[in-house]
Amino acid sequence: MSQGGVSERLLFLRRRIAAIEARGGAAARESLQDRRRCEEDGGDFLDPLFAAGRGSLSEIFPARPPDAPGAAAFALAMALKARAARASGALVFIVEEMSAREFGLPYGRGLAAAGVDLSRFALVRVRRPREGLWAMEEVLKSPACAAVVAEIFLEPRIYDLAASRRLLLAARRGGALGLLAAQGAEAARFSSAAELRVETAARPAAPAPPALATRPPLSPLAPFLWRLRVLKARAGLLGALGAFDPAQWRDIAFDPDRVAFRHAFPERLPAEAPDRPSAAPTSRLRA
Amino acid sequence: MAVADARARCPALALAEADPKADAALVEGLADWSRRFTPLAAPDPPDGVLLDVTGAAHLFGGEAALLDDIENRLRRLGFSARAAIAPGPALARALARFSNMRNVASETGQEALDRLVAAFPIEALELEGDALAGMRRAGLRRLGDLLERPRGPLAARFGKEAMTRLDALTCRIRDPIAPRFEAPAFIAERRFPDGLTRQADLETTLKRLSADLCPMLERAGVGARRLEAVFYRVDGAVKRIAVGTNRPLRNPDRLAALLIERLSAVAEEGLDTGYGFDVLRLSATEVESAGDTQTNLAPPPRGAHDDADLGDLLDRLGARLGLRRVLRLHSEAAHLPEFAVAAIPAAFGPPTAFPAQEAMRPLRLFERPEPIEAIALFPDGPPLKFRWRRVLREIVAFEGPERIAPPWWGDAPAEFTRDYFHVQDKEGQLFWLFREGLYGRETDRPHWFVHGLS
Repeated sequence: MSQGGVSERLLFLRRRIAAIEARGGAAARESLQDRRRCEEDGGDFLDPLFAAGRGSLSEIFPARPPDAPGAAAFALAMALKARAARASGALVFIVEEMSAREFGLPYGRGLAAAGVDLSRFALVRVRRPREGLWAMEEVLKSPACAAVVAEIFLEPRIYDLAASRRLLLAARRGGALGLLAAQGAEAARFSSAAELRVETAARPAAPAPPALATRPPLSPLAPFLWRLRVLKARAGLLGALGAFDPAQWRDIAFDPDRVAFRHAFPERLPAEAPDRPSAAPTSRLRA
Repeated sequence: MAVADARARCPALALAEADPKADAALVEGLADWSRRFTPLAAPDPPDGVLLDVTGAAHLFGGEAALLDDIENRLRRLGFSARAAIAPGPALARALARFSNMRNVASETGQEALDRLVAAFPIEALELEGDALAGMRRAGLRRLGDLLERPRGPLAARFGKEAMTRLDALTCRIRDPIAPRFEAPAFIAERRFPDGLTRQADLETTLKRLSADLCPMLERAGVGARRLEAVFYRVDGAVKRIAVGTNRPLRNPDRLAALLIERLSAVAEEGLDTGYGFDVLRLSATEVESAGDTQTNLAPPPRGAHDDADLGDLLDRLGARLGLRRVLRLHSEAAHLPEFAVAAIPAAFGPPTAFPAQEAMRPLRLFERPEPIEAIALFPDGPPLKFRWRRVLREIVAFEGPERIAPPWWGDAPAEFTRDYFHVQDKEGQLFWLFREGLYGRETDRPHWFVHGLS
């Protein structure tokens, strides 16, 4: 993935140059400020969650049912970050059978490429949501684990305030990060004791130019790009009360090389240059 | 005798269809049940069970008491049974079927044995039709008739088999009992005059049994990898629960915790205690050598116990959910993506490191690829659109192809070459597609599949 990361950074620089070239100086400065602001509140707003040894429970809801694999991938990215913050500990992935049928099982090669240490990784397949919650609690209680991702079809009947409180207390005891990637459920139907609740969606890709018979190449970072909004955060966890607008979607990316979240820069096409015949075609393709 | 004849003689006759399979299952069940007397029990179809009670009889108050116990218990279960003990299995079988004598001491001399066997009818040899009919024609009625004649002519006339059986009956040779389950090397058991029905009692007993078993393991310098707890119900049913550990373990608390976890999982699905369990047996069915670890000199550094902690956690999950549901991912030397990773139960040990890999792989893989309809501009080109789960998806970006061939070095590869593409649709979702079959070379109609998601 190191090559991927480098090419992504190059891509960003190339795009920035294209933007400076395309627009006037003032616009470029403005966009630069815009980006800097983006970078400032980019990905590190989640960092307090990963303070070493701090157990907590987060819920990740998909915005639409097809976004569920993306939500699980985001949970995995958070788990990797938690593992890096603790510098030790195992990672456990709990998958309900239904979810495995719907979206497949976690794949070892892909996980290894994303930076998961598979010698400290376990996959648990459960038949029922209740079993999944039990397994998650056991894992959270264990001192061996840094993070656990549970991909479960939730129902308000099973996952309520008491159940989530149990999980939270177990997480506090073991100092692990619990990540509940809920499936087939709307976030609004649940009330829980979780400290953070986010909703993720896939980032819509830029439409393909219709004239082209082939399609542009895929960004190697594509699996680690999401649109995200914070629905709920415990007061003081991510900043002052009201610091987060639950309706605001933000673009976020995970860099597996640095094990860090960052802002995903808007993938806009640079505007047509008015004073030149055409921009370099490759840059348009890459955008 | 035909059914009609039998009915004519006895109009009240109750008829039942013969069910050899159910009979065999019943005999096997009885063999399992008889393992409460000795670990070495074998079914002896069609209607017998053989037990090796060497060294076990004194636990039941001697051989005569053991025989009474077995017969009484079987009678209470509703069987009319005859039991016998003899120095050899063949003789014991014959005693139970052809003699009133029940117990022949193991130190009986050869002449006494011969005298005993001489009184049996030749049917005790259990020979097939021809040899038996031949003996009858020759006027041989009792085994004594055979014993007092020279062996050579008899063997020539009735076959070697007859002589072998005769030797087995007189205990000159000893044919082995092939037990249904191998006898484990380490066993602890508790017996109760009345059946245990409460789960708490069973759990306490499991704790005691673990405490009994662990010193045995420690003396032998081994740790348990597989444990089996067998519960014998008073009405003859046998329940067993098994747990596995991912490293040799001989800590009684841990073993008991695993067993109790498994027991409560079984109890949730319904553990039919009936009138209670009167014998509980815990055995280490698989052991592995384990050295002693130094304890309590200096506090271990933080993280030193991580592997052990993880192992304990996975054992506990496996005990509750089933061993096959707690998996670790092992790397395999295979090119086909579905064979490149093996998910192996955690109880079989930790995985080795994965090799570094350059190619992009998806985060999730379907257990079997799902067929899709895809549209490509050229038969061997990248896809433009595809329909998966009835939704048409337009591809806006792709990466590929990556060509993966089936193992061609084997005999006649049954599969086609695959071309893999990473694609992104308009919604931003990522798929890992492949086209099976090289157009024009392997097939004229390549099929498309989606194999993974990111």
